[in-house]
Amino acid sequence: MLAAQIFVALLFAYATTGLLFAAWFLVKGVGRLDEGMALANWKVRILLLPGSIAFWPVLLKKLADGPESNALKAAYPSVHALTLRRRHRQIWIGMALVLPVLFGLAIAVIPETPVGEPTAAHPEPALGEALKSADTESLFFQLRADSAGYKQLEITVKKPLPAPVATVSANGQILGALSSRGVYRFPLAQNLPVQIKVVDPVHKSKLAPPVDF
Amino acid sequence: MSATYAPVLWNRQKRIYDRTMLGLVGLYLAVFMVLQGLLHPEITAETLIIRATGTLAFLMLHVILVIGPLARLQPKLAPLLYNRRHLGVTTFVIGAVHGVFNLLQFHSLSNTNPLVSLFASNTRYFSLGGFPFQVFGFFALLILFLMAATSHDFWLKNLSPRIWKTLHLFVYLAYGMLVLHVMLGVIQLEKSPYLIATVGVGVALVIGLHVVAGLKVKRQMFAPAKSAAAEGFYEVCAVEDIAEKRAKIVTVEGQNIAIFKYDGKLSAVSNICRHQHGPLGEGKIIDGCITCPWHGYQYLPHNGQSPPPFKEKLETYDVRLIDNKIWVNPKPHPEGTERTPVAI
Repeated sequence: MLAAQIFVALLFAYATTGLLFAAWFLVKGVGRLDEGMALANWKVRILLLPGSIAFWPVLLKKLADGPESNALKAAYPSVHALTLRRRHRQIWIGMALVLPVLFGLAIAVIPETPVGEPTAAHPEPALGEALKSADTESLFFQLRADSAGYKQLEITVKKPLPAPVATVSANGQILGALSSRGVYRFPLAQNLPVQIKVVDPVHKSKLAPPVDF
Repeated sequence: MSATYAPVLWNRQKRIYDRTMLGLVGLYLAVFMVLQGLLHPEITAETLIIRATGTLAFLMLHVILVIGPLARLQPKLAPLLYNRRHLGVTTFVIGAVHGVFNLLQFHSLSNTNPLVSLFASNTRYFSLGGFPFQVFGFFALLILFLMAATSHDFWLKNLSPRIWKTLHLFVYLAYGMLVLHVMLGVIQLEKSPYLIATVGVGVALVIGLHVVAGLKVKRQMFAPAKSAAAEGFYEVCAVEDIAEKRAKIVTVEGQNIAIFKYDGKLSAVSNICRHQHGPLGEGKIIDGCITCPWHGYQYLPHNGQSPPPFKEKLETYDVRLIDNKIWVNPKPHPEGTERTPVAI
């Protein structure tokens, strides 16, 4: 986590510095580097913005070296083209050796049971008849019961919940979890009345107003 | 390149190319979304966008990568190279939409920075099957961003051709990472043999075409034996070995030279186009000018100069014709130096 935070912070710092540099460069500095930009309109300058943010250290160095040095480096000796062709060939022969191996290994590690496949029947069949119901912005609750007196809580997730994990509890006792949109049913052993709560257990926040049945 | 810069140097061909490309992009998105809606009616809009843009960007990268070798293997397909940069920028934009929606869907619903979450929510970096595959997607998208951001001619000149060309080699690394992004991501979750076969065919096609085209270019790079040198000239080939208005490419003493035969004459210039360093010798003479097969930049064969108002110039070389054999001197004359063509 710390390494990721440091990496992202450095990325933001680099991009912010690049943005400040680019704001100056595209208005004033670019003409010093390339006389062809002196007459270029603002549309060209806007087009150069992302590259100026990304390559600000290179541009800064080129400005420091002066336009003569830049023009000299713009020459492209024939030998570089030949090296480049050879490099292309070497890269693709390397890819031809490495990529199929990684491709095969990736197939070999595919789990027997795909991660996205439910391991149990879901949802449980609906029990008896709906006795009571309550509606919220993203959830629809129903209290169901059969003739033998068994009770069941049915929750329909209408809209994606603003949390990666959501737990359902009845009078403080956890019944189960909700995830993506769909219908969820939980056996309800508690005596009425019960208060149903749906919370994000990670951030200890309510995802819907409590429902009383 | 002209004296100043414009956002895009539009012409009829570029407009046709872009309209065709955008039409096909729109058609793909429409067909994909309709089919997904029919096959998976429970799908959310966010997931639909993620799937449509992800598959499209991956497909477009395949197209971009096969255009180069296809044009080398079959010169009639060279027009596909024209305006390939717009195809590349569009691919980045579509990939960026995929990336942003992934961040929103999977990493923005907590109090952790979404980018930090991308790297830290799954820390199985030492597991192949459980590897955080989205990290591959992030770095591949970063490479595509750098390439899209530097696609304007300004960058080719001002980053220096060497840096610019090297930077664009990284697209191959991006491709490798995207293959792993797919294989360790959706393939692990869906376990679909059709998906695996589709990706496998794509990978085989891209690698196979590049290797075959690379070997063809190696064979084309004819290098005369040093013993053939006489007064600084190297024997290259017979006149009949070059088709009318076409060229023979030779590599002599590190010089990459294209010798053109046209209108009963012979002239030699650098094989490297001043625009994006395309292989001029793989082009042909059109309207009296050597025409680059990549983007249509033109040069006069006898002096290597672009016709006015353009300012690009190529090095020129001395050619001799002895007993129907063509000889070339690899010592280059300064860019734009006029050399009298050799009459056949």
